[in-house]
Amino acid sequence: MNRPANASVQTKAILRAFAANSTEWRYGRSLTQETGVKSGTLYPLLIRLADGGFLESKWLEPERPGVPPRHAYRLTTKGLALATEQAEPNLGSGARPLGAT
Amino acid sequence: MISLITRIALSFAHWMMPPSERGWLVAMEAEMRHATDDSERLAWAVGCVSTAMVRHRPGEGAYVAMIVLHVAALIIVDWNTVRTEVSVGMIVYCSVFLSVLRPSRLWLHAGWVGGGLFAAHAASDLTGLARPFYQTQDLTATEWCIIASVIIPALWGSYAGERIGRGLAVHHRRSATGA
Repeated sequence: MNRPANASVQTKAILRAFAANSTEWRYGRSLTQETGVKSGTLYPLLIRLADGGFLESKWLEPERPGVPPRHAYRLTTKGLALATEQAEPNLGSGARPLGAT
Repeated sequence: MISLITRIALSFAHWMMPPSERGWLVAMEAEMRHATDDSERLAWAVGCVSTAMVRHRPGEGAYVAMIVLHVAALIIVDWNTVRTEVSVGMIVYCSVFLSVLRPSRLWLHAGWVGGGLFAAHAASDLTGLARPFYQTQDLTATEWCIIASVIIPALWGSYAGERIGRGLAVHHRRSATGA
């Protein structure tokens, strides 16, 4: 499988956050809050993941009126495979497998 | 004040982001609208600028246009103020900005910014055309030396911009490799 060059600590944190509930659509703000990765680092990573086909995105209607639609993201099958692969080295050290609930 | 800075930052980010990727900035702005306070909105605006700078791929034409615009703006500002700190501030800003964009060309930027202003003064003094409003007679030797010294803040600004530009590049390279 083609791996992106950006297998950084931040990328792994983002992949972990996505993989924790891989069917759920995630927002940028919640990802920054959950992972501690700042927006200026998060979005270039999201762009690269999307360009590589690891991430799909769509605009979701807002939950309340008066706020704009939000761009939401989730892993593709290819992205989920990458997240699992990135997590594998940690399995032996007791880390939770990606995608486990 | 914070909202003004936020708006300026967003405008700058939109200008710098490649047109094909501006949708991502729109997505970031939509997230910013869900921020709960001004400081968080400002942090998102800074994130927009950072993202735009990471994704920015200026062509040579845009880069040359950037140099010309900055030197022209510097001359216009210098021609219309007698406040030295304003002119020096503008010199530093121009040289820092250009060197952040292209760190490897810091000497060129110092030359264009410092030399450009010097050349404009020299041309106007020697031809007598379009002199600054504060210049009523030919420049003295002392004034020539003062004008030539604008290369110092230009060099300083270019060096600072080169450091910032290379620092940003290292930061993003580390992010990319996981170092």
